[in-house]
Amino acid sequence: MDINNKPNTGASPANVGGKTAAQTAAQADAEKAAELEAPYTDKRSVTIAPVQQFSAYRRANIKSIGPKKNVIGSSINSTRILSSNKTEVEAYFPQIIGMSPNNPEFVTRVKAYLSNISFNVADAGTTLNISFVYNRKKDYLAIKAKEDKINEKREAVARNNISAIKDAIKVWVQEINDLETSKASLGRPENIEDYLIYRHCILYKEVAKDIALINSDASLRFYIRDENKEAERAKRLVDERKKAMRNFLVLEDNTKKRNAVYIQMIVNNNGNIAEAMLKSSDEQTAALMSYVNESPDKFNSLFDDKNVEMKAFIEALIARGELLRPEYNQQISTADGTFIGSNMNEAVAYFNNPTNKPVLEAMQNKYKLF
Amino acid sequence: MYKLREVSRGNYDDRGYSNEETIANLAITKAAEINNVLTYTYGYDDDRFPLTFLTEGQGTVGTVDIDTVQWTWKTMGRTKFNDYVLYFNTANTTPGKGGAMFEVEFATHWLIEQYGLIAPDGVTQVRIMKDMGPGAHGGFLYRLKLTTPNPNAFVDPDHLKVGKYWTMTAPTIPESYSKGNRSNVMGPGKMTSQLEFHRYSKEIAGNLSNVIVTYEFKTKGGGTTNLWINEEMRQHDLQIRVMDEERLWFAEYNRLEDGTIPLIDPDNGKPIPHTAGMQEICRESNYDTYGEYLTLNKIERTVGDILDKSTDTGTMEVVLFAGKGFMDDFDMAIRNDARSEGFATPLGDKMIEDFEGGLSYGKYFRRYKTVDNHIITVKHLSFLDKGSLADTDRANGNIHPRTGHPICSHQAFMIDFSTYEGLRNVRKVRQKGQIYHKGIYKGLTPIPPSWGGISGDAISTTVDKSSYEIKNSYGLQVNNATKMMQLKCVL
Repeated sequence: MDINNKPNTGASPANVGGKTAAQTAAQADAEKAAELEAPYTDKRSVTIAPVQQFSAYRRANIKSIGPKKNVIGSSINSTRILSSNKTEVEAYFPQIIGMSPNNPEFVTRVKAYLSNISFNVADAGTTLNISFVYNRKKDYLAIKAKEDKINEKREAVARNNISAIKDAIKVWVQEINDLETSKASLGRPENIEDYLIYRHCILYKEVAKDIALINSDASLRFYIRDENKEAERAKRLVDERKKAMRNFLVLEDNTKKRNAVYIQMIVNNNGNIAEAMLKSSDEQTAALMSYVNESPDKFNSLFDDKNVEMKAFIEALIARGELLRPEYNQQISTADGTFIGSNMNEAVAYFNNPTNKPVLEAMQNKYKLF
Repeated sequence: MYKLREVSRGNYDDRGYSNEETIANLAITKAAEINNVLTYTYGYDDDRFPLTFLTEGQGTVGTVDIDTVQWTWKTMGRTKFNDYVLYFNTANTTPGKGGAMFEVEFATHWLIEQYGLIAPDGVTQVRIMKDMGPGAHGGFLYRLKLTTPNPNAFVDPDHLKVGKYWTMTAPTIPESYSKGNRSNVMGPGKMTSQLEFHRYSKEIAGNLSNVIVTYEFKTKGGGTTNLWINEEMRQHDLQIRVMDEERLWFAEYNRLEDGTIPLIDPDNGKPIPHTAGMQEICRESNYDTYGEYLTLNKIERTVGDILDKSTDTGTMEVVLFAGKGFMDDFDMAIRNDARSEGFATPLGDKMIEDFEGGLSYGKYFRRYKTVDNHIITVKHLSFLDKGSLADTDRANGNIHPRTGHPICSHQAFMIDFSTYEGLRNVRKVRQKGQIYHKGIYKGLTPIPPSWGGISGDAISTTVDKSSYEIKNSYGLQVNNATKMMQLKCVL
């Protein structure tokens, strides 16, 4: 008999509360599994708002012309797509049209319902409850992961390229619609009518899915404002600002890096480096502070760039005419025609290469004379 | 009525002037030809000018001639009894409970102290206890109190959400010592629009006026001619009419509130005014869309909503000017409804008839009577099927997937052509002296008789050419657009 054996007092860290660590972990796993199997409500809302771009005729007669009624009607694509998935149609529509899917008139009535859509949007926007009650939380997590991926793809598109945004939106509409359709077997919307209007708005041509498109398409009368996404975006902006402020204070103690970030900021804003470098230190600091406030994400990415000093050095040399970069070509070469790189990254690699140290030193010596 | 026919398919000359080469280019001077009459493959062009016909075509009642580019007219809206919530502090989740007063900011100062208000549910009632003046959110603040004596009752915060409308009811006061209140009055409003100007030129050179071709063209007088210039001028006239008509429909007003027009002619730095066309006027009043199928419910809701806006009593006859696609949709909407009501047999009896020993199939619904006796009639607007917009839709593949018509054919304009107080509601506006101006720039090229006679040998250019210049002024005046609408099928 092992005399070292002690009764279970519950005092051991591996034996808390009369349970072994394995038991505790198993219990936690079981609880987690139970939570994943339990119903879950994804609380969400979106606002559909009219694009407040009055015609010149309305503006000229604004005091006398009657208020405009903002109506979202039906459309062919939306009617066809929303009535095409059997599972979805049979899950949502019986409650709305008051008819069983077994009724031979069911599909006709569904199409009639979708063709009759006349959704009045308030001037300040109308909020739709698009919350979805999942039968199991794990389904929510799976859908959420897919949705995040779809959204990431859409948001990766350059904001200044309208046709790329349009293409991305086309893909997004298709993918989000497919994803939403797949949810029909996983639960039910909290408010079916609101949810279907939201689905219709995604497919309706006259609702802008991205506000960047509003000015380029006169047929867009409404836009979707996703409250949750706006809140996420606002939170992300605050976090970026906090980080940018910390980085800004770090820069104050590192003049070399500060100057490099300043030059790169000027480059990003398509400014004139030669003029910007003539500004006083206080003016440069003020410009950087504005940049921190207005574009904290861009400021942080400059700060985190390991090659920011080398890039700024190359930009300064270009500004001074020591290096040449044609207006419509990214290629960089010296004034005497020596090829440095076909773009900024290659130029950085060139100067970081120990073999090219003599050229770098020669340039650094010239730079000191500026 | 003279009708346009297509001369030849596929040959177009867009050099902007015409001479003998033009005719050769159009391939109509070649010698051998089986027929000397043209086959008008696309048929006659007609019914393309409904708005011109219903305004200018009606003589002086359908037009108004003015001296200036801009014009104004007075309007009186419908008396308003409601206003909407602009702000309410949502921290108060039981407004009015226990007889407590609560403050709500409404959009305007239309509501009056002492008056009552009914909530959007049509049941909850409050009294305006105090007009607190301008609010912090751009509206006007009012202190309200529930009128129900139930101390546990409170106003559902949903009724106080931004944009919810409340209706004003009569002011209630104590038996004695009450103070007076105020009253609202609505003054007439003033609306404005402006004219636009069009300029068309036809330049000819050489001996084009006297060129004879092997084809016979119909003349306006009903005869025939072999003179090419007559056909060319007929085409020119027609193009002008088509484009002018389309401007009446699709022009968009372009003067800013400060009176300036950003559209400037680079030749002379002068602003180019655009009038407000029928589509813009309709859309600014009422606009809705429909999908694959038009339903009777949709027709009733859209048209009914608009008719209910007006306080005019009695039955109204509403005309929907529509493309063929919309007419199909309208017919199908009523037929589907009739079938769902079980009227299949009587419908079949009307649709199938005896015809010369055989059967004829087809009769279509063009009229509908609403529950309150308004009559909705559909009239064909062939312009939506045959106009340049329809051609463009076809060329770009914007086709209705079920009917195959261009998508612009599946739309209807509800236009109020009534006469109010002796004035037609829709009129064409023109500038005096600029209604239709014609001028000829004469060179050595002979002037065709259709341009009008010019005597003398004096010429104004040494170049062997002459040109025919047209300028006109166009504007559209709609006194009352509240009963106008555009209902359109969208892809």
